[in-house]
Amino acid sequence: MRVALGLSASFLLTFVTAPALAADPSVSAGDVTVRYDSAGRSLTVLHREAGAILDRIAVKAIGGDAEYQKAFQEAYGRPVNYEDIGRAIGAFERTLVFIDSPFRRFLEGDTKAISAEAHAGWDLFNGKARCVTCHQMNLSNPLGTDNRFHNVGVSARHQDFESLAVRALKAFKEDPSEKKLDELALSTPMSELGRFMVTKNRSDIGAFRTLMLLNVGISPPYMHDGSLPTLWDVMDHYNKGGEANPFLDGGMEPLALSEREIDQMVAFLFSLTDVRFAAENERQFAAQKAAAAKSRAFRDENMAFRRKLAFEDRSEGAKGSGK
Amino acid sequence: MSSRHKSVETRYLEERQRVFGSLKNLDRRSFLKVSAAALAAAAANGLVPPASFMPVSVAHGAPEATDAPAFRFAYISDSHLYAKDLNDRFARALMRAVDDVNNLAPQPDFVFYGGDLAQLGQSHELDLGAQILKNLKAPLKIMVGEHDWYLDMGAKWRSLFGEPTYSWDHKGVHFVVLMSVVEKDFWTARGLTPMQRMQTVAGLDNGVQSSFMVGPEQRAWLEKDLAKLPNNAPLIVFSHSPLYKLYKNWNFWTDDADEVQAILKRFDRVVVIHGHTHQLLTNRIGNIHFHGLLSTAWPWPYAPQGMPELTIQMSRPDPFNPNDGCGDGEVHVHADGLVDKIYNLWNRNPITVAKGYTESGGKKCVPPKPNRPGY
Amino acid sequence: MSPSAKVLAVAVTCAIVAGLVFGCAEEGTRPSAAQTPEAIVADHMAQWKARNPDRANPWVEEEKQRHKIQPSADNADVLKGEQAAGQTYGNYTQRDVLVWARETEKLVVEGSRIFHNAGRLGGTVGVSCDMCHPDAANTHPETYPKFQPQMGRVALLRDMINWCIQHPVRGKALAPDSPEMRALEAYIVAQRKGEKLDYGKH
Repeated sequence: MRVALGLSASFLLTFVTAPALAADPSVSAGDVTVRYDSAGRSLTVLHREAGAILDRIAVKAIGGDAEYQKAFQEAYGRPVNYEDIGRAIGAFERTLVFIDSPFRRFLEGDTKAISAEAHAGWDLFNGKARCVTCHQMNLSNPLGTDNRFHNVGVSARHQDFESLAVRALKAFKEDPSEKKLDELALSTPMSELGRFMVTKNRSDIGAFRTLMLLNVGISPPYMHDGSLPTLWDVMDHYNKGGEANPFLDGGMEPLALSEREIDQMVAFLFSLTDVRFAAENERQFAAQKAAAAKSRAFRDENMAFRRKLAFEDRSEGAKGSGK
Repeated sequence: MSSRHKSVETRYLEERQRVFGSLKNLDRRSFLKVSAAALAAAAANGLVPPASFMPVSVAHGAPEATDAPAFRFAYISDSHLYAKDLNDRFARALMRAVDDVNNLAPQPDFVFYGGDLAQLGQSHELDLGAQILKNLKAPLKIMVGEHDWYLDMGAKWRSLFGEPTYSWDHKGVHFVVLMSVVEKDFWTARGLTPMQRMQTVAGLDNGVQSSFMVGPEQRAWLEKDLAKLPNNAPLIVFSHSPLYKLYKNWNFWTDDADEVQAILKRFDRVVVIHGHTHQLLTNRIGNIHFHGLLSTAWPWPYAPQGMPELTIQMSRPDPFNPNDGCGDGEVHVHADGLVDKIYNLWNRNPITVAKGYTESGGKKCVPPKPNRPGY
Repeated sequence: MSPSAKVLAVAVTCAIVAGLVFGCAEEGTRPSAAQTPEAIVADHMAQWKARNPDRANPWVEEEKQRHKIQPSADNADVLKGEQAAGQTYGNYTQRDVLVWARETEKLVVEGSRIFHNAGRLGGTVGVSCDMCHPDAANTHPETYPKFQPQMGRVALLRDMINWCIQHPVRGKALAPDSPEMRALEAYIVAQRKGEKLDYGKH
């Protein structure tokens, strides 16, 4: 299975611990046929774009193996088919659950389970840094996501939203086939329009699902497109209030966090990793710390401390530039 | 491939294929007709966002389509600015609105500012507002609110923006801007300083201030200004206070509303667009169709009594998103002077209150209902 | 002692005490036999206020002029009933009813003053509660406690107050038993008099 589709073990791990949920909530986890890799591209849609070649290859390869034939007959009561392959992968992935983190033990009552730094970070998470607004984290919902779609300005850094959305609409009008839609979603920058490509709701432009925070320490790079290499970069992004664009979530505001507070936040985030990956977690912490010490490309203290305002440049720049 | 075992994704894609496939089979002209009708249907259902790009939810079966508007203008209102280093959020929100309007394609004919540019009428606040609004590409028409006026009784306002009461004509429509936040003197007897007077007026629920009114001088001016217009003339009146009596405690109120409405009574139809209420508000009194403006700064709750029947509330804003319930918008003006009022709520889908809605007394083109109304 | 005799005794005692404390043995009209006890008390109070304008601080009246305050419950019923006669416990007088009303009102009115004042809230951005909540509209104290996912826990009214103070008002959180927090809660709850409790409603 893994050979046929070219997946690797750590890739699978990323599936579960990074965006483990399908970007489209209309797809149930059992079907597992719309998955996003770390670059934000849908695997199944890749298959379809390639003219349904890969699914035929998969069914041929797996269906040709006597053991798999037997296993599929036992599990599903019918011959190997593409949908059931997806179900089988889904069933396997559901066994890969890693939620035993120091933080969870802390929540359960072991006050020594996380460091004082991380504890301060948890207070910030719920307070000044306002992360909990979207990364909801409580005993009923420990994943650290509200399962909603927010535009936090990540894709706005690379794309020009307005013209992309106009182009998307034009393309739909000219060729409304699903093939065209998938082509657009994958091969052009329009995938950066996020949830909008599914719902066509204006409020969803540039909106991506709130990513869950479990094991976030060991799953760089960050954000839906992997554009932020370390958690310090993530903190810088939020500290300055994201990136201004016409669809920015109003909850994105400059946070005025000091360096100390950022370190505390990062310490907290690293406490969310399952204890079975403690070694990897340590390694990542050291590696990211070193990288962050060299470069903090997304830091903007003027914005973070409200000396410069979001939309200031945009509103001033437009005059006379013509559109 | 076994079609008996369809995954959810397959079914979803098949459905989408069906929807788009039905469009594929039309020739170009029919396609345009269908999509225009669908667009109109979407508009009728309050689903159409502003004109720069229009993601269309393809509606199956189009209810009565509205005719294309004659022209459009944009609006921004109620920014309540403090100095940038005192309160960054209000300034940022106004800049965001300016950016929104500047990104409209095509550009609107003009941008209307609905009043309360400053929070306490201070010179530096009004200067900041004027400076931010200068970045608008389209021409600006501006109206005064009570927050702009009662520190110095309009001295700074006049120096920046001229007389608060004026009118002009544009593409066959007569536009009037009133200064409808006149208040009877409550400050002299109490010996209030100018700032105390301003802070009294700035409190929406402050009962010491007087009710808003237009006043006899302006009513006389209005009669004269409208005298030459025939009864079927398209007429749009801008006012900061609503020009009707909604809720006195919050000055969602114009004391001489009856007199003003009497002046407007002879016209076939009049549109009044007002600020001050910071919410989606719709009313119809006889021939007058009333529309409220959104604020960029914060949303007001709906009044506990006096709410017009026609108003379908915007959903109660989420306090955890400081921009929720706020925004800017557009007004699409039709040839007869009636309007489609578009509320461009930040982080929400826009809501359109189409002319068919107020025209039919709320029976057609009904905007979507809130899932969290005020209570 | 009959009730009216009691009131007279109280009134005269107050007047004498006031006279001793504030040394008003000098000028001032003396009570005439025709005046009711209440009138005497009011008269003396007015005289004292006139002589001490800087100490006569009518903040309650002033605040009530500015902002509508819902009155507290009418407790007149406790004055009725038959069991009370001759007892200490369970026996209430008009004075009790007055004191309850006045002291409750003072805390609620103080809450209104803080609610409408960005400075007293400790805010740093010029935002006061009434800017989103005129007359405490849309505060919905009757719906707490409720789980608020964006706060990560079940919120009580005071938790929501503190969230608002820290974020839109940008001040420091108040201690839950601080005088300001107690006053704010009092005012907010008072304004929703008559609404039925519906905890958990979002």
